[in-house]
Amino acid sequence: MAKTLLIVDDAVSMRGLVAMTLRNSGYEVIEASDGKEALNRLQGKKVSMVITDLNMPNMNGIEFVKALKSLPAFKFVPIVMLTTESEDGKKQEGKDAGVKAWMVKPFKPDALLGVVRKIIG
Amino acid sequence: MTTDVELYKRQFYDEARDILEKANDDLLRVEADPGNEEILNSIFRGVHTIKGSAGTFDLGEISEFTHGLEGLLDALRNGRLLLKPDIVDVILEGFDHISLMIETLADGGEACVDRTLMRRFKDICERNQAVKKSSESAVHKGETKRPEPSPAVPRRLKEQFRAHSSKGLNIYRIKVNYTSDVFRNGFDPLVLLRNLRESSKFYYVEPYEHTVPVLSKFKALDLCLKPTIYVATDAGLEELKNLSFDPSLIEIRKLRISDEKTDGEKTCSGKEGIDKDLLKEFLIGSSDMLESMERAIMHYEKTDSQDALNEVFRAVHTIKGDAGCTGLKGLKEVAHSLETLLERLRKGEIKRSPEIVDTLLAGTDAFKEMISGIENNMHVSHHSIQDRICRHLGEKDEAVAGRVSLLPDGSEKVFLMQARQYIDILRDNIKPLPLDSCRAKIVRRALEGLDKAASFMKIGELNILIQKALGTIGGTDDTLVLKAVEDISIFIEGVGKGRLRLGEILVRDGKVSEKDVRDALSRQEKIGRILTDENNVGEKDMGEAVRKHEIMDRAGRARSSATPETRTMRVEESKIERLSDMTGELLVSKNTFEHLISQIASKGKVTPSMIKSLKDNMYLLARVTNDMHHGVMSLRMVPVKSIFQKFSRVVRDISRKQNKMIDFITEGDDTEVDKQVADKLSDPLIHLVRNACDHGIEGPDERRAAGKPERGNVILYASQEGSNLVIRVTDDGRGVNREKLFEKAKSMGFDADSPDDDNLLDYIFMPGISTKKEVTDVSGRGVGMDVVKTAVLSLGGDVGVVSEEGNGSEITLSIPTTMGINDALLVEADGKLYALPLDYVVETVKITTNKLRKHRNNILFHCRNEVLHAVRLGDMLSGTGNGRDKLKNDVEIPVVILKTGTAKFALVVDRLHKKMELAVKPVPDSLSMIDIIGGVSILGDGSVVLILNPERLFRSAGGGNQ
Repeated sequence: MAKTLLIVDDAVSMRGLVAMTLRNSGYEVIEASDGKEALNRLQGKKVSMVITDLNMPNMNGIEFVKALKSLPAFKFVPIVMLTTESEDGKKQEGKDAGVKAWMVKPFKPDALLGVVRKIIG
Repeated sequence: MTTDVELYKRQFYDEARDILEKANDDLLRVEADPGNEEILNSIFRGVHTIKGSAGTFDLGEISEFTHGLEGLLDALRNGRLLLKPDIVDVILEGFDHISLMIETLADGGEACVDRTLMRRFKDICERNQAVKKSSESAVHKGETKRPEPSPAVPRRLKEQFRAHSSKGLNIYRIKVNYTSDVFRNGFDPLVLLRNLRESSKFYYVEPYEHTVPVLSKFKALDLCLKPTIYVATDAGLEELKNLSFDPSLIEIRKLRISDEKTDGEKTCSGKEGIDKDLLKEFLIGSSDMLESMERAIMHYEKTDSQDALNEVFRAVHTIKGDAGCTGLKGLKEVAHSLETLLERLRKGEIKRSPEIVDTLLAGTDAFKEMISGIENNMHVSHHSIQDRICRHLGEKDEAVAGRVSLLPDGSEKVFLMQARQYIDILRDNIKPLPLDSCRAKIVRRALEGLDKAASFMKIGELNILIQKALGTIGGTDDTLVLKAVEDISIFIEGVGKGRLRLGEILVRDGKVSEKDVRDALSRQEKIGRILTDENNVGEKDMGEAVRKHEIMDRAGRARSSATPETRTMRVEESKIERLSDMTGELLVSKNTFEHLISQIASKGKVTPSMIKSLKDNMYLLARVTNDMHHGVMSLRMVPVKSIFQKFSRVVRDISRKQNKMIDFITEGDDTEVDKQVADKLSDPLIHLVRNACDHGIEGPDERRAAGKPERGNVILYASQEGSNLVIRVTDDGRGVNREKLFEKAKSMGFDADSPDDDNLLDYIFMPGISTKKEVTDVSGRGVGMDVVKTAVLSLGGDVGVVSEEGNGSEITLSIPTTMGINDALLVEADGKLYALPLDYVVETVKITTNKLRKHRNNILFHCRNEVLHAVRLGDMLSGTGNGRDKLKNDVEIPVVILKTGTAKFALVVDRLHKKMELAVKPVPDSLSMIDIIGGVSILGDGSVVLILNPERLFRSAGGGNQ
């Protein structure tokens, strides 16, 4: 069965591009526009990996990661931050919250696929 | 896949527009509150997001430009820079430029980076940094990150770097950002530093002791080593990156040492295409060069001085070298030809003549044009100047060769252009008949050229036509030639119009390769040239043909870019979600019906309980359809905020320009309005706001003198009032000068009674008045007022103006909201059904006829302490006047009491039906002169019902003169 990924980004263009890239490579994708929606969408589902933006309305990336990591079902799901933020402090904050990798936009779709493959195969 | 990317790109444009709009707004807010870091941060993040997304979508221009802007914003949010009005100006300009780039890109154009603006960003950053640096000498925060567009090199290092870079070494600045975490995991930054040192010829570490805490606070496992290192090495960027186990932990930046030539030459030799930095330098340097070149040419013209000529030559030569190095092919070619020309002038092979000087000057003009073209990312053709130079040289082939390579890709287009060119030549020469021998020769050559092109494109049909035409030349009847040529041109036009991309098809089918086609075309071009060379075609004719060819080329491009665009609209997600929920309910209701029907079918009869469930379900369905209707309608609605937002910028610009202090206040931002209405209102509102600021609000001195606060107010207010959207633009400025307006109106021949006439102010909406400067200056109102009125009227709305001299003006726009659905009361008159919009209905009462009193021609009656004017609907519609006589005595009759904007009156009807929701359609054109009809709708039984317009109804009932 195809692996499922969750993409969280409030910019539809970014989310769409990421989702399309992944779908074209045979992954299943769930999309959400912010942390809150992502948590709702995830209910009862199983995902292999989460890619999330940092700056989002309602619930930002870090809060979302913290919330996700507190759920037993998602405790060990690898999370990648895909964001324009490159400040060290934020990165550290992300790492502390349990972010596995930090990708800074702009990204090349192939590079993203590379990271995904490396993490979940 | 590419179309998908295109789709997301469009989405990105939309998002970027939103971000910019918000950023604009934020910027203006923060200007009033300069210390507000939160807003500055949000602006920065917005621009940062655009940059990131643009990079992902390969929109290099946008990311480059936003990067520059970001540097400035970063300095602002870090407090390194204070937000001053002039900086706000620059940033706003930056936003505008980003918008411009986005719009250009969205329209399929090519965006260009505004270099001067970028330089200004940089200047502001550096200017302030310099100030800062000198003031804070000892205390220096090691952690602050500085995304300077190009890092400044410490002065003491510059000399050494210059020496090294002249030896061909690359200079890098490396920041090592290893964290304590990485360190604890066993990665030692010293390894990196050692490797770095070994691979560099020159190695310098910027002092960084300040990152080490005092001993009492020192923790052994914390990493304090975060040096910035300058190296000169022959290794490349990638090689340096690989020295670290994780390249993201080090930040490497290549430095360019501002002493140039050698360094520049080297970089470009290794690089393909156009090097951006070099280009920038070239663009800056070239303008001086061109100026001195122009001067020298002029001097040469006057004096024939060899020195001046030499100077021109040197300038051209430098341009050629720089252009070649920068990768600007067109420029280089022109420079090369010019150089050849100058060379011959120098040797005396060509004599100085006014024409030659003209050409030389034209050459500098062409350079300027091409350079500005490069700056604006436009392709400027250099063919004409090239041809002109070559004419002096008598060396045509060389130029031609250069030209072919510049023909646009896509052989089919080239073929069409080529073919049309031949056709033009043919048409120009075929008449008058009969052909003389010279023109016969031209025609034959053109046909032969076309024949070759056709055979390369493998268009057999065309070949046959051409052979036929060739056969007729020199025959007895030249009209045959004419006819054959016409056939050919029709065939070619057909190919062009039918958008048969022949070349594409052929190439795709593998029948010809692109190279073949291009080879073919290069040969044709030469044939075309030979025509000129052998004087078969005059220069003028050829020039004309070439010009036509260029026009067609452009026309073709315009046509191809005009692919149908899908218009999209952005909708709040919650609205869509509600709709999809409703769809779910719809499904439930459908299933219930299915279930009930199957129950009825199995039982063979209908029980009362079944009827009840059917009814219940009906109600559910009614509710859902109702909700859905409203839901779908609400998709079209946008908050007026989207238009109001733009205006704060307008106000600011004017107040800055005119040194006024204006506070812009918006109220009722969340009022929703149909998207189409919003689009149409945007322009008139700009006029109004601009007028209010420009003519309404006075300068601070004048205001003070008038006893008003220095700061003026412009208020934009929106609200939903009944079924109307009301927008008010209010200012507390000087108001309209009635006296002057009156004079003006009279002089324009308008029928105005006195300066105190109530209707006088309406004249400001008259086009003749509004365009006159005198009036706009004194009246404070004017420019574009008729535009406002026209726009509002086209939306079915109305404009009103109130103004008090010295105290300001208020303009009110009221626009009926087109929800498309209306609550209406159905009434019957003379056996027919009519609908009255419920918004106007105050109440319905039943009164006995003997309560009606007749006074002259009017029927009046007393209701709730009010005397109301009554009209019988049936009479009014049939035009038979008031027939109280038709009403029987002592019968209860139903009356609908209506309230319009101006009055309250009663409508006597024959019967009251029910209240209903109607989907209102506009009145068909054929009925549009009957103004008492506001719309039409269709009832459940399929019959048409007219919706009456109470405002007009009352007027036609003669209520106005009561």
